[in-house]
Amino acid sequence: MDTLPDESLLVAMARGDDEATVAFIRRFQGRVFGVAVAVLGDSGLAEDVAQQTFERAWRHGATFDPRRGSVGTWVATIARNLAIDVSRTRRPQPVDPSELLLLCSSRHNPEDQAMSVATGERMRVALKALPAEQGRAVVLAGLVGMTASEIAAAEGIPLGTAKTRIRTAMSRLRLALESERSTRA
Amino acid sequence: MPEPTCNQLRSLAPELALGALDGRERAEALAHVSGCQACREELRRHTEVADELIATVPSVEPPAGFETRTLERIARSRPPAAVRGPRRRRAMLAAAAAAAAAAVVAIAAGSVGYDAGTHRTHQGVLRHGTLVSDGRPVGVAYLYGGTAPFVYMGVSVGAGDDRVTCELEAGHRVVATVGTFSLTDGSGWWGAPAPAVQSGITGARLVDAAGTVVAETTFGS
Ligand SMILES: [Zn+2]
Repeated sequence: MDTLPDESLLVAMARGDDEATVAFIRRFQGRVFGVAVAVLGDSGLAEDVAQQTFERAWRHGATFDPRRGSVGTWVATIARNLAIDVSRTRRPQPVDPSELLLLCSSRHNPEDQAMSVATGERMRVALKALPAEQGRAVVLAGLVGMTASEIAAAEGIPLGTAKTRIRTAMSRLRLALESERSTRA
Repeated sequence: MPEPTCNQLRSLAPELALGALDGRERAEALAHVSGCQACREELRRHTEVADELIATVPSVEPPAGFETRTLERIARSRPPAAVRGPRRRRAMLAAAAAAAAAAVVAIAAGSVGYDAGTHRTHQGVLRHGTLVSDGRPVGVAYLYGGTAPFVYMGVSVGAGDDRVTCELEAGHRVVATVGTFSLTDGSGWWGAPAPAVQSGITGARLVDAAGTVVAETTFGS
């Protein structure tokens, strides 16, 4: 089980294989919990979201389309979306965007990079290189799920400025990823 | 609803990919993207960036006992639709192979989309097609013709719990029945050995208990 590719493990889990379910949870729990705790800043709420994430993955594996990305990204995105729903209804302490940016742009343990060997490090470097206000805008949108108008209100800036920050940040990050790809090719 | 133009979509794409548009803007943007190949490609490139952003969040080990509590929670939910009985394990392994083969297709094709297609692997031919209901994509079906042929399918259509029968077609004639499966909240997926009528199969369909076609697909050839 521990050597099965992610996709096969997901299929085996959804078909009711208990061993696969355990292996799937073990493989992705750090990542799922990491995303939940980053968005919510609260370990108790994060555990609930992480459990729910695995329940969804177990139940709705059919919605996973291998052509659209990795299982790791899929499950992390489920965690992010569920965490955003919770943060909207239960309103814990708002996340500090600067801390979140620091968290994402710092190098962390080597296992994390295995999740995204090709792009992880370059993404971190690119995130770190952004002007701080652009970095905050993009993590608030991409991780906390804030709309441009919510970011404008939180940062005390006009809506147009918030949108520009998001767009500029995204195109810089994209350039960084694409230049990495052409370097590897 | 006013649909954005291609130019407007281009400026909305980063926010759309990040999930930062409000409901109305999001719906309008998605309506445009569903009918515009160029903007879909533009959105895909932004989505890759958004996905990588999520991937930068560091892993954190959950509190002790997390695994057990999660398993208990899963056990409390309903069991998923699955082929039971002695063939279950074989079917499960077959389905696992299908997913792996599908991943190979993804890498080989290097593109994103719901187009029907075919791909030759060293073990056999994997054909796939989009399941469609009322003109909308509702899932994907794979027909794998190796030494142990099987069908693998994931569908999310409508709501409610239902039993559907999967049939294989040649032309518009039903030539074989794969089996009957459950949908939970309109969703289900399964892998099952395929009857030995590999040649000439052009598609598959799902039929509910009343005989109504719920979804159908044409396999790429
Ligand atoms: Zn367009």
